[in-house]
Amino acid sequence: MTDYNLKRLSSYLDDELTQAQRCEFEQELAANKELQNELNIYKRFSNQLLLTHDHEASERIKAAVLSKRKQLIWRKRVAIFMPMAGAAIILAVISFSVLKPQKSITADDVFDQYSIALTELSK
Amino acid sequence: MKKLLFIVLLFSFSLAQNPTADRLLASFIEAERTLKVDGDFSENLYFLNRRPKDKKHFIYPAILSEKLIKENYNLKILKEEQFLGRNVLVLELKPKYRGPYWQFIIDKRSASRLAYKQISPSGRVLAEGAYFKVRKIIERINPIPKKDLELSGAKKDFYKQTFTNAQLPKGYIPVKITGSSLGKDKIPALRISFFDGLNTLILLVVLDGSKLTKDSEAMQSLELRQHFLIAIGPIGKENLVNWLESYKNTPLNHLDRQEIKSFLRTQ
Repeated sequence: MTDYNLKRLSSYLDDELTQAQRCEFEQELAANKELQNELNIYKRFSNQLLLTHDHEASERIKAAVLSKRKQLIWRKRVAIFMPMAGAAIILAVISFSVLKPQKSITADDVFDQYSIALTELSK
Repeated sequence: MKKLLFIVLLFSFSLAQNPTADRLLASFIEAERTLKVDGDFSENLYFLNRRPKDKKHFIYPAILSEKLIKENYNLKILKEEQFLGRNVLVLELKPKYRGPYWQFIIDKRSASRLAYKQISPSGRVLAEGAYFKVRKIIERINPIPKKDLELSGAKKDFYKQTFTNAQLPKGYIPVKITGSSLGKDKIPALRISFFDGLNTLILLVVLDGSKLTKDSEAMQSLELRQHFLIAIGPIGKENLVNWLESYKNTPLNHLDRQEIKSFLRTQ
């Protein structure tokens, strides 16, 4: 959860918004599932905040919420990108082994063989 | 009819009984083995677009086999003339099958070869070599030993098992099987040499999937299921292609590369 969202959610729940700001926020909330999710998390942690009435504790909880959100975001990213990266590595390995660059034989190489064969026969 | 048969018989008899040419061939082959011409020469294998480098004597033909020459060629002394101030005989060897023919200029006194030409059936010079200065003709300190060209032992068995049904160009027999590596990449290959008494053909069985960049008149290639084949020789594109095609019907087509490599390791 970003500080900006945290601030907006907190203002919303504490009824600190003007009517227009509230309407706008609610519209945004209705359209944004992520924000709804964050609102739920915030509500859950606000209960703890209400219970503590302690500024330091509330800061810790906010930090914990933020850290938790960051972790979730990273896990999501990893969950999406890891299989893709794995597939890319496997594909690269397969391509290298199957389609490894073929060496080519030149007319000079073949002539050398002919020349060697003649010399061997003549000895 | 009887008259015609008599003429044919007489003609065949006259070809078979050509003692002068036969004797010249025998002396020439002996001279190739025991004598050395000290002089300056040039040689060019036109059919391969190559000029042999840093050689002390002709590299072509590699060797002469009296037995195979008599089986596969008709011999004729064309003329006697002067060459580099020496009396020479021009010996012509024409194949009994369609293929290149040869002319050798042979020193009458020593029977040493002073020049040669290999000519295609259409009259194109495929290879030629000639001394332009002869200082002396001397005996070799170590004469080239006589040898039996035919394959023997395990190599003969391997050849029979692997290349049965291959349609070799007429007159040729396999004379050498060996492992080899091609070019700076050391591409592994099996090399088989074939010989008809004068001409040499080689077949390369490439063992790592590498391919020849470009075919030419004297170098043809073919991809089999397991191997890449390259045939080289002065017998013309069509004959090389037909020869290569015949390997599709041989056990080679089903033989694994590893089996060939294991055979080579045992040699």
